[in-house]
Amino acid sequence: MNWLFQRRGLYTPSPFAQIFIYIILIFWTAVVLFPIYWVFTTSIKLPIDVNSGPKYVPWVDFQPNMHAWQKIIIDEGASTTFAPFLNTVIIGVLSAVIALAIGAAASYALVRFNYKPKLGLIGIFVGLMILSIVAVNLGAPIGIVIASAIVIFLLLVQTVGKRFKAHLGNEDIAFWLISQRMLPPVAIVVPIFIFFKTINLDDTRTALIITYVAANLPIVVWLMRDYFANIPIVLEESAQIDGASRLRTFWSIVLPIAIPGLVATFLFVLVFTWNEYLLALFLSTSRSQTLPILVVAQNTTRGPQWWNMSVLIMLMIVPVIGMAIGLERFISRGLLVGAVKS
Amino acid sequence: MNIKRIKFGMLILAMALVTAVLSACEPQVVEVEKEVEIEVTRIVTETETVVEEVEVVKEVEVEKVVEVEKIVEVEAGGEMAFDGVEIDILTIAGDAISGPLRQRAPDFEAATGAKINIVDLPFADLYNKILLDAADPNGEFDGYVFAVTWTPDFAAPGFLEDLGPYVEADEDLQWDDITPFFREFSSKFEGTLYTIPLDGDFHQVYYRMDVLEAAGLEAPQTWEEYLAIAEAVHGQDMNGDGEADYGSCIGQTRNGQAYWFVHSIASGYLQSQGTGQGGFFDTDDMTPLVDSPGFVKALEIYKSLTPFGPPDQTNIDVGATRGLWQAGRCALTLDWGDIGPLSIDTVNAVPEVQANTGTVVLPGSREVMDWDSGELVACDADTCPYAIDGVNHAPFGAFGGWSAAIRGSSDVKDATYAFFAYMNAPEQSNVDVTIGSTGFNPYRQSQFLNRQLWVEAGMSPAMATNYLGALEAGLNSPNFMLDLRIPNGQQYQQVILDTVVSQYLAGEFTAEEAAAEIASQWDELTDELGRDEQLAAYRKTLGLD
Amino acid sequence: MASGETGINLVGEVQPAETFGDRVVHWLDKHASSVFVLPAMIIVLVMSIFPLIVSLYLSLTRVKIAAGGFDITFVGLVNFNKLIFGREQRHTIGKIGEPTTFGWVMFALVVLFLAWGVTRLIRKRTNMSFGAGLGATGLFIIIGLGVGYFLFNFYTIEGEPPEMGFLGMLAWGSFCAFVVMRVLVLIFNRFLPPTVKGVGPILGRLVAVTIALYFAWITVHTFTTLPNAEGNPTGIPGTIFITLYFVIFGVALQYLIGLGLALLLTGDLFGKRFFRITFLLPMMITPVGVAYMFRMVTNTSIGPLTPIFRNVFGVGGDYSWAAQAGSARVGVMLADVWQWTPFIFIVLIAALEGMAQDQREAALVDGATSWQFFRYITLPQILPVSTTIILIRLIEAFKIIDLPFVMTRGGPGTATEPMTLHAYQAFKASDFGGSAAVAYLLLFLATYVGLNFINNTRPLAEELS
Repeated sequence: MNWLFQRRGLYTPSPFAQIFIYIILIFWTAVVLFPIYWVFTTSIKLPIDVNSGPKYVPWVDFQPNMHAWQKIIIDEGASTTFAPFLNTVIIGVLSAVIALAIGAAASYALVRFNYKPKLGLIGIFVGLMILSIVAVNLGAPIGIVIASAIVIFLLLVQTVGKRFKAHLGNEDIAFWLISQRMLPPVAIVVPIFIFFKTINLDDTRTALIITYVAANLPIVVWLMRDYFANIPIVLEESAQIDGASRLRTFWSIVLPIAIPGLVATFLFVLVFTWNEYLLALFLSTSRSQTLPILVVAQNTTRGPQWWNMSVLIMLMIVPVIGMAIGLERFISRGLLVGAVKS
Repeated sequence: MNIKRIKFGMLILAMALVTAVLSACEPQVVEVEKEVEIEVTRIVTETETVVEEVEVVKEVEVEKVVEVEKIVEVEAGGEMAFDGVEIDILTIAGDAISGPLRQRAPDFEAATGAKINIVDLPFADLYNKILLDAADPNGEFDGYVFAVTWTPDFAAPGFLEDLGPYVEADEDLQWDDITPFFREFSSKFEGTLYTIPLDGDFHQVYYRMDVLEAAGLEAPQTWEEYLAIAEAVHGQDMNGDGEADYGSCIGQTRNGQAYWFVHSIASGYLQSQGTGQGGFFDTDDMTPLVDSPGFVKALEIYKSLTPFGPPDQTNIDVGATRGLWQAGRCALTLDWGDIGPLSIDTVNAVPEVQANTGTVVLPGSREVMDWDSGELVACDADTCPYAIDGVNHAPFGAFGGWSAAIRGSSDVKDATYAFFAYMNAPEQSNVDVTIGSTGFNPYRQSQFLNRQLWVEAGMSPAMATNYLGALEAGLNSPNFMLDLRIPNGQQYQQVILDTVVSQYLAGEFTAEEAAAEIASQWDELTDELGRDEQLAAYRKTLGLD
Repeated sequence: MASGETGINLVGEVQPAETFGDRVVHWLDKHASSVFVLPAMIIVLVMSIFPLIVSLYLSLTRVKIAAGGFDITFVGLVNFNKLIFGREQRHTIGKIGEPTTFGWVMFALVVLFLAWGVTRLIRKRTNMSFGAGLGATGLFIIIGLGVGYFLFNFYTIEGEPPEMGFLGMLAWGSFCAFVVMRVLVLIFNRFLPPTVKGVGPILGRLVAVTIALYFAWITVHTFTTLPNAEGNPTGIPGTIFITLYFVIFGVALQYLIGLGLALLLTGDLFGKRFFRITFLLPMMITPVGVAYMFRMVTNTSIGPLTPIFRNVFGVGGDYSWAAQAGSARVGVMLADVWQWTPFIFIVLIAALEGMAQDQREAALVDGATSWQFFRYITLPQILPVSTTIILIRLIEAFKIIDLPFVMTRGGPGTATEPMTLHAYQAFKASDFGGSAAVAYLLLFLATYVGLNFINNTRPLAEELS
């Protein structure tokens, strides 16, 4: 009987443990897949089949009907469905790429350089910014306000600036960055809306891309920071001894090593953007609408159109299954290693 | 490692950037303030030069007439009146409301050369989006199709176009055919016409004739009877699938329509002296009427209905109860006109529902509030002058219907008006209201009188008579209760009332506490917004001033 | 990115052999530290700080729709006052009820835990002299008590004490005391003797403890309360505590399940890739989609689980989880767990895959038990990444809105309404000032929890490693 409980090898649990493990894994698989299966069957049901009680298996409990797919893809595809789909793809990919480029550079810098922004100067900066807003609000000409703010700031930097001792470190900058994700989107969405309206970018993909880049930067910085910290510094030092510039080192030594981490982070950010609802709702109306808004729009005065909604959810899931497979490949090759070590 | 500091230069650059961006945003705010001043001065000059203005207005009207004639010509096959004009319209998402707009657009486009662009949003987000867009002089949309209860919030600051001149000049519209409630109350705010109705909305009760007949019951006349019927038939199988079905389906979720349903139950208790009495506030001092035995009674009935409805009734809204009704799972329901056409939907409604949907005017009460004593008193000739068989009915114009309005600062107003007029004209709307999926309900006399249209749509003649009779009776009642249409009505109804009713249903309050809580929060809000202004606005909606 | 500016800057300092590209690279390299970090800083400054300041301003105003736009009136702290002490107190903080015995036991446990934490902290900070510590603590207590007493009297209206009680006022008092003393320390830091210099952090911990005590007190008075005559609980939690409920229980469950699944899936198993990809899926679905999905699946009359509800739980056809406060909260929280467990799972899998192999082998050769293996080999290696991933999840969890809004619309009553939804409701009714005030309270709360989490777990993680 002992063989039942004997480990088979370094990485192979005993048969008994294996059975136990499989039971748990299959249970969780069911938990994960059943709701998705239910959405799929709902997408091929008639409204009356949805409303008149649970019907589980097509052809057994109910006759499948493609009316919702027909409506979403064929009848309304060109007019309502495809444009948001394209928007979602463009906005998602572009914002993820930009966030990754900027965020990776910043996180590398936060790992390899020491920053000591002085607390007092930051206080002066924010204070002058608030004063400027107040002054402009009271009717002062903008040009003069900006000019005088800069002059005052310069004067203060030159005179009292050197006297400030308290300063922040890299950890503070990093925490400050992540803290930018703490404010709920509801709170910042109106200023952002007015901001884009003023510069005539409202309801454009550009506006959404910029917003998502800003929203996802902290996540990129935090995920990549741990990764870069784990890359042996010897490589960079030897490159520098050979006369390579910092940028060159970053580009040709650090980034290639970091590719798995970059891909994983890219996929994370892409998924966040792909699925975001609240910001998209306010910053887009017709031209740059994204898919999550279309999903919610299926909840109508006639009640939720479960069948149409299910079709849209299925359409949104298919591309990301590809992403899930991609993400898994990098992990199973053991390449995401550093990305998560700190 | 290299220890480097951020260069001051870089900091300054960052600051300059931020300040530049900030300053780019500021003029907007400053301008808004200036505009307010200009607005005020303009109003002053306007009153001074009324005489001169009259002539100008006349000229404008002449122009309008010419244009309207052009449309008629166009429809007869002439040149394109609005060739290349793009009209952006914002409305609610879903097949209903935006669906018929989309379906009718190509015909209009073919006739006029205009390009119609319909954008739709979920109901919960529509109000804010319209508000932000309408407030902006360079807004994106030319027309909105929205809930008519929101009109004061958009019209009071002057965001919407006065449609009076357009309608006067447009004979094809047959404006007088529209029933008085929608013509005089619903589409106007403070005497000015701002919206064109596309949908007529008020509450009635629907019942399953076969189920009630089998139980030997009559259609409910009061809410006590409604409750008794719900209790009696709850648990029966009503659609032949062997499952127990429900006595009454009324959505009770938060952020649904609960605040309208509660007032539909309360209306019979609160208002007995005709439309001008109003059902929300005392017309002398804006004291909320909710803190009264009548409203408490309505709350109790609303909560007592929970056990006789679907198990998740406190988490579903009217959309879900409509699905349940079509599936034949409810004996009674409280709804807008939609149930009529939805019941005869041959694809989605079960045969039992198609054959047996009865309609009855909104139930009332045999006791009404006597506002002098603050008590419920029995109905007699004095207390209930409009009672029918001793029951005081106060049909509630909940929501008021989807209506079309034009943004005041739009530059394609004529084209936008032409499209809305096209949707509203009898040729189109008389057909649309008979189709369940449009979400449009009758609002024209001809739609009530011409039963042929309904029979053609698939209703049995008896059902058509019953359905239209109940609708017409409700609409023509002298004791019709108006929905709340004062500035920030959203906050009164959809936030305060809605939240407290939901807390009451969840057992956090007793009925008396809930009524008192709503009243105190309403009072606080009224004081915040200015009691006199709110009172004046409220009296105007009732036609008192 | 910055090549345009560089071109201008470099005019005049050209070395003959250098091409333009070389010059750009040279300049960029000289300023590498700034070039790397500035784009990110500027974007965050413009897109986050500007809205933050505007929101802060909005939270101090009342916004009204007026002719030609919006009419903004400065009203000071009225919005915050309304939320914490005024009309919305019941909504934000809750209604105080009579706690059950279980509630009191939990409260006692929290008090013991906090007392242990404080003792440990003071013992570690030995560089401060006893007298200075005593003095600082004394001053802190005096200011805290004073402000608390003032607030208590201020909000005692017609002999009726404020609903949150003296302890609540004390928490706010201690917060004020903290702010006052922190400012004093900042200003007079250079004049202070070295023995008192450690007073700042100590003060921070003291205020954290006071607030935690206050939160625990409110929690037992709102979540675990005795029923009234009708069988409904007397206490009702406000949106702050509902948010904390979703954050604490949600993230804890996500971490435990994620860790469990990750541990199971690191060995050699048939179908490992299939399981991993499957487990990733929930994270990939849009939250609003997940919310509607759960509404469909958990519907008790037409959903697929109806037979389970009827036969296993025996609740019959007239039961709905969404109708009771407790079950509705659990429902929303489970949907959140379903969606976000993969996030923790995937990161932990990556960490486990990356574990040093030699240690693992050595431990197995030495015949370590499973528990020893986990405690001494696995745990130390995944703790640092765990703190990061939990912090990210904490921050995201504070912003939960799609799930409760779609699944229960915040109901029944306000039982599943987190602060983001609270802000959104105010926003929807055009109460922009009130909405911004709720959002700022949430920001304070999230910062408080996030900072305390980082401050207390990072050292702990290092200790255990």
